[in-house]
Amino acid sequence: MPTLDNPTPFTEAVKFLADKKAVPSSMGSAEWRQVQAGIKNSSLFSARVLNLGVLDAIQTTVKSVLNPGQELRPGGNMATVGFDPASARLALMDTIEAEGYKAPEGKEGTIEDLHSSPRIDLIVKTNTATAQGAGHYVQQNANADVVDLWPALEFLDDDSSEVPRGEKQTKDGLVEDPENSWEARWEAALEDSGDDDAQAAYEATGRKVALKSSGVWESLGEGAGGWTDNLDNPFPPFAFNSTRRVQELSRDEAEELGLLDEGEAVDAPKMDWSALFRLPAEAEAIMSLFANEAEDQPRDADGKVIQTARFNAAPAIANSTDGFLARMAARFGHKANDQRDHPLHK
Amino acid sequence: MSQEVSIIDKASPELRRRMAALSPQRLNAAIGPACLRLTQSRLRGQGTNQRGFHSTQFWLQAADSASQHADADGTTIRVQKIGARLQFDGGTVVPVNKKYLTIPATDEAYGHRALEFSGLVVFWGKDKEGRIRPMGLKTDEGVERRGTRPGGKADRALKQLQIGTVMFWFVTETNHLPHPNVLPSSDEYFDVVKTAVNMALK
Repeated sequence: MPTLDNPTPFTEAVKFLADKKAVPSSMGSAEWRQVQAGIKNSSLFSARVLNLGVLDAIQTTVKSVLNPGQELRPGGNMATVGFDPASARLALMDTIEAEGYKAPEGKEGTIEDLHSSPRIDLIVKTNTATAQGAGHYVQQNANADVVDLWPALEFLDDDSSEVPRGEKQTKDGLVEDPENSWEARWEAALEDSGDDDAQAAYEATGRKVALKSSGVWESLGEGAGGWTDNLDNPFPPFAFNSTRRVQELSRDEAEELGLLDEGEAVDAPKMDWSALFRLPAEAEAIMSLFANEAEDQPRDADGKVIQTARFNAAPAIANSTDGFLARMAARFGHKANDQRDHPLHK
Repeated sequence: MSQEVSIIDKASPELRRRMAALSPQRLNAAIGPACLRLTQSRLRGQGTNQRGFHSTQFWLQAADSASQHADADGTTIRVQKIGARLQFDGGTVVPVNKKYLTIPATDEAYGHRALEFSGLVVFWGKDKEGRIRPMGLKTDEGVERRGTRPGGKADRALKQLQIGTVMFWFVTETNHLPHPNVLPSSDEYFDVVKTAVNMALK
C-alpha cells in the first residue's frame, strides 16, 4: 500500500536536483538550447540569471517541494511541511527582490521578468518535474529485471495543460493547432529515430508506444522536427509546461503491440546513469566559462550583479562546447550528436 | 476454534523450478512498476476542484511525486506531495503562528496566497458564534497581484471583478473529509500484483 505517513525522499529525484551545480549566466533560453544536454542536466540555471543567490534559492525551494519534511504539531499530530507552489512562488519573489533584481524595461510581469509569477512558476514546475522525471527514468531503466519485465513505455494522451499543445489560444477561445500537436511531434520523433516497430504500433493502434531502449524518447526530448520548446531529456516532461507523461508497459503488453517478439531479450537504454547526477569531469572546463562570465558582470555598490546588464557570451560558450564535444568525439570515436553514446555520458 | 491448513505441494517440477528462480529482486521488479502505474493513473485521474476553479494540477504533481522503493519486505509506493495525505486521510487544518487561514473565494484567488495581492481590504462581520471579527479580504480600487503583467490576462481578470468582491475568507480551521478513493483500494493493488507475479513466473 502507498505510504503517506512517513514521507521519505524520492531519492533519485532529490539526488538529481541536489547534484546540480548552480550556473549563473546571461544566456537566454535560445542560447541555452545550444548547450549540450549532459551539461544542462548537471546545471541549475535559468535564462539570463547571473545571481548565484537566486539560483541557490531556486534549488532550496525545489528541494523542499520534492522532499517535504515532517513537523510535530500541538496535540501530537504530525504535519507534512514544505513549500506548496504558492508559498514557493512568494518565497522566491521575496528572495529575488532582496537581491535587488530589476526587470528589463517594458518586460515587467512577462516571462522575461525573473520576478514575474509566470516565470517563477515555470522555474519551479520545470525543475521539480524534471527532477522527478529523472528519478522515474532511473527507476525504469537501471534495474535489468525491471527492464526485462517492463520493457516499454507509453506516451500518454492525458493533458491537463491550460492550452494543450495541438491547440492555441485566440480571441475566440481555443482553436486546433495540429502542426504543433504531440501527435506531430511523435511522428517526427518516430521518423528521426527510425523505430519501425513503434511506427507500426502507432499506425495500427494510434498509441505512442516504444521500447525503453528506443531512440524515439531522445528524439522527442530533443525536439526532433524542429521544435524549440523541448527540454533535451529522454524523459518527461519533454517540453516546457508539458503535462504529458509516460507509463511503463509490461512484457505481455509490449509483445502484444509488436514491440517485442515472444521471449525476446531486451536492453536498457545505453546511458550512464551517473551522468544524470554529476557534471562530467571533462566538462568542468566549460563550466568555468560560465563562472568567468558571472564574475565579469558589472555590479552595484553592494557587490550584487546588475541583472539587467547584457553580456553575450553565448557564441563563445556554444563554440567552446561544440569544440569540446568534437574533440571528445574524435578521441572516443563517437558521433558528437549521439547523446546515448556520447563520451560525456561515459 | 482453530483450523489447520495443510499445504500439499502438487506443483509440477517446472513450476517449482520457476518459482525458485523468482528472487525477491525479480518479484519486486514485477510488482513495483505495476503498483506505481496503478497509483499514478488513479492520481492523474482525479478531477479538478469541486468549486470549478482553474486547475493547479495538484493531482498531476501528486502523480509525479509518486515513486516505488523495493526493500526486504517488498515494494513501497510513496507519494511525496504536500496536501496528499490530507486528501486521503482527511483531518483538520489550523493556522500556525497566525490567527486565521485564508480560503480562496474566487478563481482569481485560487492557487495564490493573500500576500501576493495588493489592493485588498479586510472586512468585518459576525461569525457563527455572534462575535465580531475580521471575516476576509475584499477587492478595493487598484487591486493587483504581484508578478503579473499590467494589462495582461491575469491582471484584466482581476480588474474585471467588482469592487467589494470577496477574494479570501478568514477561518480558524478547515475540516476535510477523508477521500480514500484518491488511491486504489487494497483489492485493486492485489489484482495488479497478481497479474505482475504471473507475468514474472512465465
